[in-house]
Amino acid sequence: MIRFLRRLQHRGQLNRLRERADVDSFPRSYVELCRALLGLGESASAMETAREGLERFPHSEDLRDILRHTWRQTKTLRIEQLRRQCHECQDELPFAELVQIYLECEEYDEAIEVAEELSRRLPESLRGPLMQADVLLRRFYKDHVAADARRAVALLKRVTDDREGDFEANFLLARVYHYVGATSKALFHVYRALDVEPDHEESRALHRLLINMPLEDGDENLLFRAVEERDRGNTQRAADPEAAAAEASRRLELKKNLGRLSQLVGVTRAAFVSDDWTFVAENGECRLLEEDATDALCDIARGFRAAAALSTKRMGLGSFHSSQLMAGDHTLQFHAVGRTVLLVESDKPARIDVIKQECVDFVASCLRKSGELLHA
Amino acid sequence: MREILSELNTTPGVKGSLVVSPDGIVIASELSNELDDDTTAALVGNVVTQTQRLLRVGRYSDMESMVLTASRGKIVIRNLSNCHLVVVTNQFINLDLTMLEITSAAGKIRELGRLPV
Repeated sequence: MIRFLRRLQHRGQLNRLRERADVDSFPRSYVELCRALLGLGESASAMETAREGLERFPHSEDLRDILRHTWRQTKTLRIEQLRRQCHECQDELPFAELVQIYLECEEYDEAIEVAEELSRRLPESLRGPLMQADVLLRRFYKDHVAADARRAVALLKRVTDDREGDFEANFLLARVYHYVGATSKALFHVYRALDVEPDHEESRALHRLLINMPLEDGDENLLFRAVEERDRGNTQRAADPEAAAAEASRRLELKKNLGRLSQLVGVTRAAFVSDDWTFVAENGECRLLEEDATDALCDIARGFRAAAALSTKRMGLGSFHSSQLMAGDHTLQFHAVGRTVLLVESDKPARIDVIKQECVDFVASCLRKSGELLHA
Repeated sequence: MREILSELNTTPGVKGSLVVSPDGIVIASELSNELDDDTTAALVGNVVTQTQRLLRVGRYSDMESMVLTASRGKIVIRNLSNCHLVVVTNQFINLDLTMLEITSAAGKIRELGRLPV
């Protein structure tokens, strides 16, 4: 009886958390819900909830950690089975499934390793280089590291050298060339892809886009580098009428939240810089900076993000996420997603970890999915 | 100095470490094969010089330390007055624990001495 009542109480608690998660503009409620599910031993539900939360808050580190944790719990056995099969048989299928499992949790390094292993074990198969290129390109679209795109293109060219009309290779090449602005090369490969599959919807849509784009200026390596430096592809953001309508309320919300962030104990100032808006906040007062206005804190945020992002990419460490900098009596915390950056200045004795968590939540909240602030 | 760096590199998760001058010239380095000495030093030098310049713009004091977190690794930079200790790690490292080792290595390098850079 007591167990039954306890279960009933837990169910009630979970329902309340779920209702809160549906309306909360911060990822915290989802995180709490996942933790409650984990506490009840419901790993699979926690994983699904984390995945659902990440769809709404794609940049929530906490939700990503929970997804990774639960993913390990639920997939370890299958991964071990597949690894054994990869060693024992001469078949592409276990390799492909293993790559797919790793991609579920964005474990790109492992996925690339598996695809490389397939290329070594079955050198005559084109599946290995194709999978490897696919994973590298997924990472390129996310991190904008030029080396990933260069490696992927080299692998795909190897495939098309062997099999000129390979649909997947040509389509992937067309897409990456379009992304970096190499229009003529993208057109060449999209035509080849359409020769093989004339009804492929994505290829047709890509073709429609490409015929209206200007031709490229410069070779592909320069274009990859340009994307790496800009931290942005050459493609236009899709027009989203709902997003435009929501822009005003989102701006107000961002202003209010940044103002609150600047009121945390120990925080002295905060700045938020994105392609759309620049805000500066101090003592709870937040103001929007006009396009031609300058502010030292925003210049620091912008300049530091650019230098840090380029260095981490070129060192092979991927995209820049955050930084903590101690300078005299101040601590500066930077939190970046692509070209968007939040900079929070605090007194040295402040509770850095508490401020850091608030910053992480702030970024996840203001880049939540519904259009206007998304860069991916 | 290389001994100190080698010892630091035995910490789990540390990919390599180096000491660079403020303008990015390598003084000593112990890096794994996946990292190139000169490229790493030049890139870190760029971040350090840009950061110092930006801090001056904002009228802050000099940088004492910095931790950069990226999707596939972390960089810890310690200002040792006339040079910088740079430690490159993987993304999974628990920096709270490793920081003690880094602080100890930084102290030893400082003691080694007033480097003529």
